[in-house]
Amino acid sequence: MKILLVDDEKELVSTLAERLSLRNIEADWVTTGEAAIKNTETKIYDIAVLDVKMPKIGGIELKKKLEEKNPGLKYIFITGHGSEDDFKAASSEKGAEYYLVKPVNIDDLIIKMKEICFKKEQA
Amino acid sequence: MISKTDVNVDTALKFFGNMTASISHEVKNVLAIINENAGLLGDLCVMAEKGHPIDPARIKTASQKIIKQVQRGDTIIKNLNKFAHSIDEPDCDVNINEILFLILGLSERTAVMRGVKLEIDEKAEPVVVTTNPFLLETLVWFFLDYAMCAAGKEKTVCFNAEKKQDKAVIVFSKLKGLPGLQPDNFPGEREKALLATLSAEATIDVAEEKINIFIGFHKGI
Repeated sequence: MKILLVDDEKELVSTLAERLSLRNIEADWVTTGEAAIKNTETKIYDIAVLDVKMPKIGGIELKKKLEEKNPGLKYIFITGHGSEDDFKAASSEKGAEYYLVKPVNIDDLIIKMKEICFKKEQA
Repeated sequence: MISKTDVNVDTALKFFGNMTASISHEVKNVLAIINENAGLLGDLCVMAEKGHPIDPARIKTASQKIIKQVQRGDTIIKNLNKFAHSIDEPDCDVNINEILFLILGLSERTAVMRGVKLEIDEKAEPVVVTTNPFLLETLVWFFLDYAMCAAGKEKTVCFNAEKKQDKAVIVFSKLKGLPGLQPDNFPGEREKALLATLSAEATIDVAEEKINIFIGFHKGI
């Protein structure tokens, strides 16, 4: 399982990547949408974990851009909204199945990642 | 007919809603970073319990990141508290430069999201007026919002307050994108209602790339 973490809060993504690597999950991190697009040009990821609100390219717009060239890539959104329901109500995004609210519980994140990979294998 | 008071209530609620939403998102980011670093310390403890050698530098870095985020959170909450208390008194003596500094702190995340750099003279002389601090904050925020739209390619907005004869003036400058906007549509109805309530006037100087807000030192003058 190879993960790309995208959040403009560097200290968040770098530490999350470190914690995932301690659990033997390979995770790269970037702090901008542009860097995420560049990374996916040379590397193949199973899942992109995207912050919804970022400068220039937000997570929802970034997903649309990444989908064009990475048909197999799956997505988990991380949001600073009060709850997952608040995010769903505020977001018009229909293609994203997976949401997590900050601060994220790493076990919940890994469960969602495994669920996505299991579904990918079944498909 | 919509009254000036109705416009001001609607405008103040919009300001309050936008501000608290932005602040709560920022606080969530602070908590998320603390959460990950506290989690990392926990992970390292588990590794140590299992006999794996732990580099003290990793612990030091994680704890420093937590301290930094606690300080960041403290600044956000202090600004939020100051903002909340601005409704305590309807009219009082207000240092406009303090208000601008508060709005800068409260708007920083919004500015970052829009890719705009906000500049303020932190050592500016106090400019004291007698006015409603909350409505003044609301006015500054709406004008700053417009100024950010007018920031142009330079993506910088400079703002400060100064004394000019019998008035105080808040100046938003370096608005390189101002010529491309339609000043006819600004100030809008809500800004006009706020200006009238605060006995203030606004001028847009396209050639100088500036917006000025003139306020009497005493309300109604």
